[in-house]
Amino acid sequence: MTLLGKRLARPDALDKVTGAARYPADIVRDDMLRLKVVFAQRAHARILSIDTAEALAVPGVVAVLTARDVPYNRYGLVEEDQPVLCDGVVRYWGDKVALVVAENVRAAELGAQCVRVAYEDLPAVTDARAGMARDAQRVHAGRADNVLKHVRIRKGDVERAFASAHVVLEGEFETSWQEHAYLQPDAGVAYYEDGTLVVETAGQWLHEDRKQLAKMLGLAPEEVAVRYAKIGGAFGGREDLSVQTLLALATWKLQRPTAIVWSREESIVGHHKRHPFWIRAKWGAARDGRIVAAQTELIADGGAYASTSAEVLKGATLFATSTYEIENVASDGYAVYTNNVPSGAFRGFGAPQAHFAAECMVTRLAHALDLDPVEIRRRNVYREGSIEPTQHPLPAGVSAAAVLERCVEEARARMHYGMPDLRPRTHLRRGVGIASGIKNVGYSFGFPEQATATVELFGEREIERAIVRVGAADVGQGAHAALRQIAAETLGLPPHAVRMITDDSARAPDAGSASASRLTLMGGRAVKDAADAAKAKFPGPDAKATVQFRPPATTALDPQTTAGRPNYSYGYVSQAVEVEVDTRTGQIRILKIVSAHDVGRAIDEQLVEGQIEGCLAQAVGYVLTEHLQLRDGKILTPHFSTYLLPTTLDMPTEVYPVLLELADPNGPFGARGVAEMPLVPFAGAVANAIYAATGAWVTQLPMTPERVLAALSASAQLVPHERPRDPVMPLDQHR
Amino acid sequence: MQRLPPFSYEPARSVAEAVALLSKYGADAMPVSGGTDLYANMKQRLFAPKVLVGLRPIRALRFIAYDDARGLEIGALATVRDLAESEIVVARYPALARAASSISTPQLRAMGTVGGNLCLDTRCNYYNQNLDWRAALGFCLKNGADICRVATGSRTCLAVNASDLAPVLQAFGATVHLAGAGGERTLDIAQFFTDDGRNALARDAREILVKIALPPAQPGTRSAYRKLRQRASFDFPLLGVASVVRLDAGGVCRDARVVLNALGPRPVEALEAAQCLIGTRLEPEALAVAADAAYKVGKPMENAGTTLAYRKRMLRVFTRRTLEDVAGAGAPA
Repeated sequence: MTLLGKRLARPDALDKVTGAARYPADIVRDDMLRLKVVFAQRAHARILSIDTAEALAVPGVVAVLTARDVPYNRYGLVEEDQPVLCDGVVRYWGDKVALVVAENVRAAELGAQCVRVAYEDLPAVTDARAGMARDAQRVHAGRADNVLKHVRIRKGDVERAFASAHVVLEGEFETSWQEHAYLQPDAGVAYYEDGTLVVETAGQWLHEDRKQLAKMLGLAPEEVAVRYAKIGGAFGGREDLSVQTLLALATWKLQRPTAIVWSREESIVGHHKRHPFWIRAKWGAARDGRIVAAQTELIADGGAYASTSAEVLKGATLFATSTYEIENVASDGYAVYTNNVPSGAFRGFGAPQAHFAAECMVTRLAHALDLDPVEIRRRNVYREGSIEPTQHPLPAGVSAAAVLERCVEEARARMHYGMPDLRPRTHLRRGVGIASGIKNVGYSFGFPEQATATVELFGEREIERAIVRVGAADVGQGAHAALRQIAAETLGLPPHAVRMITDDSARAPDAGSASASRLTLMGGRAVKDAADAAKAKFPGPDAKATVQFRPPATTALDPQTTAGRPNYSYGYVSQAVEVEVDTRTGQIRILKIVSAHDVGRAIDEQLVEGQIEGCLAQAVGYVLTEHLQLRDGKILTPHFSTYLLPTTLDMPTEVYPVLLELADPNGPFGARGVAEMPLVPFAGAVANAIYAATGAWVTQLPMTPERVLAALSASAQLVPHERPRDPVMPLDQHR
Repeated sequence: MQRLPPFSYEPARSVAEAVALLSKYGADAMPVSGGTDLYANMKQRLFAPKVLVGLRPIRALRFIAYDDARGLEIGALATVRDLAESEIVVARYPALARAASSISTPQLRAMGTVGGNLCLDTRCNYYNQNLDWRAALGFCLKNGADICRVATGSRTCLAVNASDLAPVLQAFGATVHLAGAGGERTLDIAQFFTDDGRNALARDAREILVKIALPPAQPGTRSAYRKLRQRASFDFPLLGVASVVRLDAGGVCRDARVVLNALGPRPVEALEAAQCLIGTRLEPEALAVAADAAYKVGKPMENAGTTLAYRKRMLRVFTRRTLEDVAGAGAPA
């Protein structure tokens, strides 16, 4: 054991710093054509006609492709309900209607302006809750209603529990869209190589992309190869296909290389977002602080197409009770089709929205019961053997309580936590909020889960070098470095003696997606097992092994009882956030963050901390500054000048990632995932901190200054038992 | 990716050459120095000049000079960073240094010039959008149509002046010096801006801004600037408040100016607010009355980030804080 946890130089670092690394927009092929999309630019309409004559007359324009050029014009990660190019109807502003193919960018742009599409506007569904009505306009004709998915979870009897609870509180919460805002634009090239259609781009799952592209063109998967160039961020935003279908279609149709680079606006308008949720929660607790019942209704705006809405919704509905064992649970989640931008995968996958509501409700219960917010968590937090809302015990390795305690310890050391605030009372108020979270590592609810890797060893008497093949996307998180570190550790090799083949669906086996915080656990375990198997054959003529790792099976929920085993592994997180609230402007400053995680085993501590710090920046944006605004289905903030990402100066100077290493039974060397975890409880931690500082509850994301001011005004009308006695709650009495 | 429309670039090596080039190309040309505002706007196709006259090579216009008799002179091509870091500016005109350091990002402050910041194109939610967006919505007054999308009854464009420097310079009583074919002329900075966001500068298309001059710093002068923003860096002001006061040896305010910006096409001088301060010792009560007066004259529109109601509400808070800064009561955050 020499390499585990080591902070190694990343193999891709130098090229990325010097600019030598090639991202999808940097790739140039000889004789390549350029593509430009004609977007619908209306929320909902019938296409009456598409006139391409004028566009085709533009010098340099080679073709204008429409729905009729697409052999199989339906795609989607979960449900095939999205057209590559719209056929008859457009369902959101960023729907693609036509694709102009030209010899150069300027001709493509000009051509796109000359495609004449006649529309008949249809009523648009732009509010998810209104869209659920039986008589609402249908987003997809032929469906009984706009409810894309309903997830129901039942455990015990909430009504009976509420009747006997000492305190019952209700709350409403609202979250908004979030844009992935990866720096590298959606881009790529497609070309033929030895008869294979190659699409070279950025994504999160080589083999799934290939499957969808092949199906669109009626080809066998082997006739298509997907390659990833360097990927500049993904965050779930590259799970759905965006430009890949267009590249594959145009190159297949015209038998020439093609390229496309989306502008930032095209990206923001064209690809999916994090789901906005409306959540109503009702929680009850006994006098001793035991949470006895939680009833939650969650309604998500799914947008125009299914994307991964159904899966996100399952996660959100499961995590409506956060990381607490509650005897009686009733949760109903609904994802609703609207004519807004589609919602789909985004770091956290439904968990951040659900936790925002749950973590506020738990703190409110604590105050109503005159308990410390940590103490109520301590009394209810998941332990080994706790029963999930789906009526089965959690997978082994439950570390929620340990993570909470460690977080509180750090908060006491690093923040004004558990100490009286002696500063004079001004319009600037400080407070510390604590929140916990849980998020699955890997696929859930019976979705097939596997990762495959091949390891080949070379050397005379000793292993001198190795080739590792594992089709796993390095989206910037450092997956390739971590997988190499796992292989090197297993084989006793220095990392540079391990060659990684990772970015070509034709040359590396399928390790599944870079999503659900799963690559270190799943891809890492496949690499480790393959390395062990190859090592067993060494020395020998064929010291090579391919291993498919399959974790313990998960199950879909029983439709009647709603029982099931949704996940095989979880990440556990607790956070403490210290904020300063300007009570006159409503502006929030995050002063300090403690983010404590059970990572099982840190393969490279620096990469883990990088994931935590980067994710926290995304969390700060989600909670405070990023405000994607839509009106009548149109995105009003399609630029980074109006969709505001946090800057360096918006991040606190004190961010403390805290790593616990309590092994996961399946992970390589015990490693779990960490990528999504910091986003999960963060909104709740900030809300709790604002409450500690001011006595006001902010229940909408993002927490814009106006909303904070409105909450401050409303808090003046709170009933006395809901007010904090003191902005900082003493802890010692409970220890 | 967003691409610039085609244009040709004509570098000018002197003021005379710049003026000659602008005269030669007339309406087809625009001057460019740092380009941090211009190029972004061109990428959005807000305008597409055929010729850009490059002022960058006119080295003589990059200077900051101070003289007790003449006061402060800032060459139009001094960068925003030059201004933020100038020792004399930090010492004698601190609000100006502070406003400069609040602009955008370190990279853009290194490229953007003081003249460019004063000549920023006015901004509006309905204007600073790409061509498709504007076309889909229908254009507005600033874009060739005959309707203002912010206030449909307005016959003038209400796009806002988003310069952080303008209100501070106005509070200091600056003059701007323009060079044209007929020679130089000088304008009080208040006259440099107009009431119509379409043509918000009293600059002839064939003139260039060469210099900004500020009167000498009098003893007892204090200045402050605050801007309402949505994040800590890299954004335009949603509201800017500048104040310059002069106290006599006894601590009595003898002279005061309060200028509000990012509300409309030009900075707004809150004359009554200033009057409320004169003769006082800047006691909290006086500041409160002055803040109320500023609140009354500032009339934001629904055309920038956040909402009209919030910007209006913040007018009083930010004026009060700016005045507390000059009174020495508030922390110079």
